[in-house]
Amino acid sequence: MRANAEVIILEDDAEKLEELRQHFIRKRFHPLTARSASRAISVLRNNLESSRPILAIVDWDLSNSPDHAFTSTDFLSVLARDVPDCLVIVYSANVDSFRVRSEIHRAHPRSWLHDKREGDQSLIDRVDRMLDQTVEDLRVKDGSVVIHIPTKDEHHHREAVRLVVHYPEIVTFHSDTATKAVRRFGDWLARHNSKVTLISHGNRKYRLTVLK
Amino acid sequence: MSPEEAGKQGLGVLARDTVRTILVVSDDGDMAVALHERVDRAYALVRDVRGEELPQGIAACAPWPWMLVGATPTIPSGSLAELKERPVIIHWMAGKEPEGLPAHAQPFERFSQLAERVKTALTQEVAGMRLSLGLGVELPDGTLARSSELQALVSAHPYPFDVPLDAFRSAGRVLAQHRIGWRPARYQLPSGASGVALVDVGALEADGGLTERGGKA
Repeated sequence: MRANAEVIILEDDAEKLEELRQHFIRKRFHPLTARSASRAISVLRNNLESSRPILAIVDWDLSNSPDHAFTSTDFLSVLARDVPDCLVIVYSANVDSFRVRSEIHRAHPRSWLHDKREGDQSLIDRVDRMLDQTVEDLRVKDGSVVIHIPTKDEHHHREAVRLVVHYPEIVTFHSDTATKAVRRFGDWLARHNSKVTLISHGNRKYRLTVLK
Repeated sequence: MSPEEAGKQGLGVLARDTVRTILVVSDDGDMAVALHERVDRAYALVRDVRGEELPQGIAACAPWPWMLVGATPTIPSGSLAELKERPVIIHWMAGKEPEGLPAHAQPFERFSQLAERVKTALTQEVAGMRLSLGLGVELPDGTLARSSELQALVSAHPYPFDVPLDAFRSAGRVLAQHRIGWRPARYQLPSGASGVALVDVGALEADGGLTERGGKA
């Protein structure tokens, strides 16, 4: 038994939102969706105690949103403050503009940018590459399992998945429960003689590194 | 917390974090965008702030920013005072340096030169020590040292910091504990610039020794 990993999607176009939702259902994720920033903030805050999304996909331009009480800047800022361990990808047709890039990175300094003009499939391919990450002898499956490729053993914990999809970056974990899970994953890597090992930077910060 | 309260907490760029940070202060954000493109995000986080946000920006970088990059002719006086007490690498676009910056601030005529210096600081190696990804210093014995002072000294080497020697105590402790024959010392470069830098104790002793306070005799 394992819980499907959450992905939160903010997209003002209902048709495109449904397309993304179906894609993540097929990939065995649990998609949380919103057409407005205020709804996305509510969905995120309401689920934060029980689950934390692995990935957020954010449409920068929300002109067709059903309400404009909040903007994508507000949602990205909430993500940066409350879920810094969540991968964030922001797409916009104006991603070439220095002003837009600056606004996005001021809202979320770690967000990844994607050019909307490259089409919907390009976004899906990019997200799949980010989530189906392989690091040396480890591979992520369905966003919720890390597989040790030589033994095919599985480690079922989303905090382990977070570390692999963020590789080689540091991840800041939000609770002692999460850091215990991370340390168990570190022990699991050692028991499997993985070429990947866990590095602690203190203050609930960890990253993976490949042994030389 | 309601969406209203959550949305009013402020920009994500001002959220507190302890990872290695390049704090970029400018009027339009262009320089930060350009640095975002050139800096490996696994090594340092680029934060893009405006002049009036600088005090909050500095406070968000715990314990302090690894590097401050600027293109604004003025910054708040409180921030200037903080920068004189802590080993923050400071790079500024020439002709726009605010009055009162610490003496170790370096001006650059062109952005490309500044970006190259940032890259050098991130990949610097001194006596087998080099910056770890994201935070801290990898020591020759494989240990990861979290000292922000040592991180600053390794990155800036051989350029000195115009900061009191006492600000580098944790770096001195790490170097002594791991038996690395270097230490922070008040030092004068051939160029005449002086301040605190990492020095090779053996070489300095051969060259006339160190004073009681660590300065060159």
